[in-house]
Amino acid sequence: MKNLVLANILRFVVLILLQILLLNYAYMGGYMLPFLYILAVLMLPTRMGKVPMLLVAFAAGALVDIFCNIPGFHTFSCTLLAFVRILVGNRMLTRGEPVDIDVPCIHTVPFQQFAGYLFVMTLVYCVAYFLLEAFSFGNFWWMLLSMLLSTVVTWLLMLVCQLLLPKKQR
Amino acid sequence: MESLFAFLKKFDYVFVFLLLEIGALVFISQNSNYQGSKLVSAGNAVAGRCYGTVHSVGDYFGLRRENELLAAENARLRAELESSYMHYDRRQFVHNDTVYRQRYSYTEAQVVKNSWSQQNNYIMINKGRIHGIVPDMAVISPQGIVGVVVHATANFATVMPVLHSNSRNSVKLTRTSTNGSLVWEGGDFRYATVVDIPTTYKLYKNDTIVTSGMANDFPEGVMVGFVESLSSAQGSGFYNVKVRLATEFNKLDHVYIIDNHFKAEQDSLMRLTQKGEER
Repeated sequence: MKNLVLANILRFVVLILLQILLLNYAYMGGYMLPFLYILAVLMLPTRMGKVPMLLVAFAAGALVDIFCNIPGFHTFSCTLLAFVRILVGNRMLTRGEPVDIDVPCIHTVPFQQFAGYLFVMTLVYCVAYFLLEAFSFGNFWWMLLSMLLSTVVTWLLMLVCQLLLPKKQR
Repeated sequence: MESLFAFLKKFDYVFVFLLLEIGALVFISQNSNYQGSKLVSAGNAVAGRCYGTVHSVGDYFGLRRENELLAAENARLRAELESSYMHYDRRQFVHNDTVYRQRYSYTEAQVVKNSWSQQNNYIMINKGRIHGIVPDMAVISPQGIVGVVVHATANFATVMPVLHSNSRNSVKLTRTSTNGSLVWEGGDFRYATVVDIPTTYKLYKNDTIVTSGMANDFPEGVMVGFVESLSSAQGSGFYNVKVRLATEFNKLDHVYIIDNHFKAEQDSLMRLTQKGEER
């Protein structure tokens, strides 16, 4: 139990640092932004309380916002992501069965199911993020393209990270 | 009543969710205007220090390239020294204080935070009010134009680079001295756009573009870039010139902030003139 808390805190810190120091500088033609840090929210245990999960997501988004100097886009999208995860995501992971998954990852959940879960969640995030951006800057086709490409890039990156995970977490 | 409490308790997370989202939206609405961004100033103190530390490590990796750039600039500046010129005629060049007064002075600074992949980018530098930096000062790099200072705290300042949707700078073509405006329409950080050049002028690929010195901020002749391609909307009479920027915005390190000693005088004269027109 204690290990689980520690592992989640460690993952949170590492992913946020990675996002702030490295991925925000990844330039991919100006269309795509990899939002890998949302994995910190997506890999929280399924039995985690709903309010704590929302607060963790809010904190993650706020941290990235402050360090990237973006006015609240990440905070909003990340909180929305946690909410959607509470509503639908957990059910996608457990397939409605009454089981708890401590570390939702590629070794504890069947591949297709997990990849689908990641894709839907990433899509929710990217749609929210780029809609907010479009309200401020307003370029529809640019927004749509960014939305789709960022979703795909983030999704692929998350899957690669999953494949790199040590198997002992099974 | 009890069932109401039970209901509220069951869906407490929905209320927390709504509260957090409203918080985020208030934050967004207060900060959506770049110029008035409180986040930029608030983030300066904490984020500035963190980035300063991170950057001091990253510095070592770019030393070689930085040295080459500075050496190249030194060479160029040496070439402009009075001692590099030979006098051809009998007339003496007299350096006289009553004839020449310093108009621009330069402050060196380092970039501690930089972005180029957003629609609205900004740069943070490690010089602030105590170094004499105030908003509206021009910022250049050894390679060319960078942007304009928008905020300054005690130790740091933020710069609106060319790569910002609100950025607009007065530029000219060196070959024809035609004036235009440099803007950025988002996308690739290597290219920007010059508008307002009439199609009656003939332009060629690789024509040099420099700052015009018409705005108070930049001295005349700061490198901007080269003409990459041309287009013009039917019947508009103006070119839409795609410009390859001389400054590599993804590799900025050392920059110079330019202080125009006559800016106050120029501004007050302009105000006086505008007031006169209203009368």
